[in-house]
Amino acid sequence: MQILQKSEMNVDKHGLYLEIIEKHKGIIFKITRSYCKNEFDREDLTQEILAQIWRSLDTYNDAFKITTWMYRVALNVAISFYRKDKSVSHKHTEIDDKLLSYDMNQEAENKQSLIKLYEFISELNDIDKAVLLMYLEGENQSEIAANLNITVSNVSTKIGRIKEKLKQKAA
Amino acid sequence: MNLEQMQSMWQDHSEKLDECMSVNKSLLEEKKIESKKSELNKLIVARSLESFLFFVIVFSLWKYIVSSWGLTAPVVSAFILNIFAIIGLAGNIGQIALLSKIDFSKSVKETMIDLIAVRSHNLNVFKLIILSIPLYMAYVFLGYEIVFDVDLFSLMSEETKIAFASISLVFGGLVVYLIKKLKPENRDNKLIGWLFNEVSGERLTRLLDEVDNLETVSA
Repeated sequence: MQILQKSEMNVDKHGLYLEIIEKHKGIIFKITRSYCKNEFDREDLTQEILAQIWRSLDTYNDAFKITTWMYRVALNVAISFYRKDKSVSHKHTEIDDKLLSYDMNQEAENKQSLIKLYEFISELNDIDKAVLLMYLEGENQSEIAANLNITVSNVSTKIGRIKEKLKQKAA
Repeated sequence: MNLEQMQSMWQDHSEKLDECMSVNKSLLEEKKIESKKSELNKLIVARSLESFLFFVIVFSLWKYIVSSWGLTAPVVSAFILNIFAIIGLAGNIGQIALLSKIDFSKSVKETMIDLIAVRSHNLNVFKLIILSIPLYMAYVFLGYEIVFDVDLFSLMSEETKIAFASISLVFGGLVVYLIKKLKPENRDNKLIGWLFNEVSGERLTRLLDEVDNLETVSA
């Protein structure tokens, strides 16, 4: 993962913003896909995360990897995001302009497994989702604990519970 | 599938995303400019407008008190209402300060606690403001004076005054009871739960649940 030094921020904020969104757009996709069930909520959450990244960029602390920082911002927005049930009112409409576009058919060979994986994540509570997402990204337990501000043993218990749920699901 | 297999699939998925995903740059530009419309900013703008409104009320009431100075019911009423308007103004300024403090790049728990502080602050200001309900006659006395130029209190009989004072006492008891009950732990009560959601929003309930989820270590 790339570390962005504060010195790199001397380029204008606008350019930096576009650069980090372009480089790490996958983070936003994975978080919105995990936290929202319908695409209207996903689009709203994407907008909210992008707005918050723009807003928080001024206070970016280079003690963090940019990916960790983005994860923190995006997870905080996703957890506190108010999900309005728009599935009914927008039942017959489609979003013409999406901020992030990705067709899961591009992963044809893994498509079904991926859908199942996202289904499994969406069944977890918001905090367990955050733990699992960071775990899947390869963060170690102490990094996850620091991002959530809980103890490492708490993280370990949560991961154990997620493994249990996964086993039950597979059985 | 176990967690390790899941992790390896996730890594492949992440690589694929970086390769194949596209960002709508023109829309991103548009939304960036609109970032002022983010939920947090909307709340700050709403609180600022409310603060301005409370400031106008405080200013107008002081103006009235100074211009009509004397120990009359309308002036005393204006003074009482002024205290509540100041509470409202201070409460809104406090909300703006708390909202400005929110930093989404902090740890999840810290951010949740900051967000809960905003919602709880809202609830506490509401509790202080509803303390004005037992003093409802202050609104009536001041309204009569401003609209009809009549000091209603001086025209009331002793019996009427006692009747209104008794109603105020009943309201006082009800308000104290409500304030004591309006706590997150009493959300199971239908009326309290409804009022709690109306005042502090469903979000406080959700955020409190999230912090509980963070702290929970056993299944």
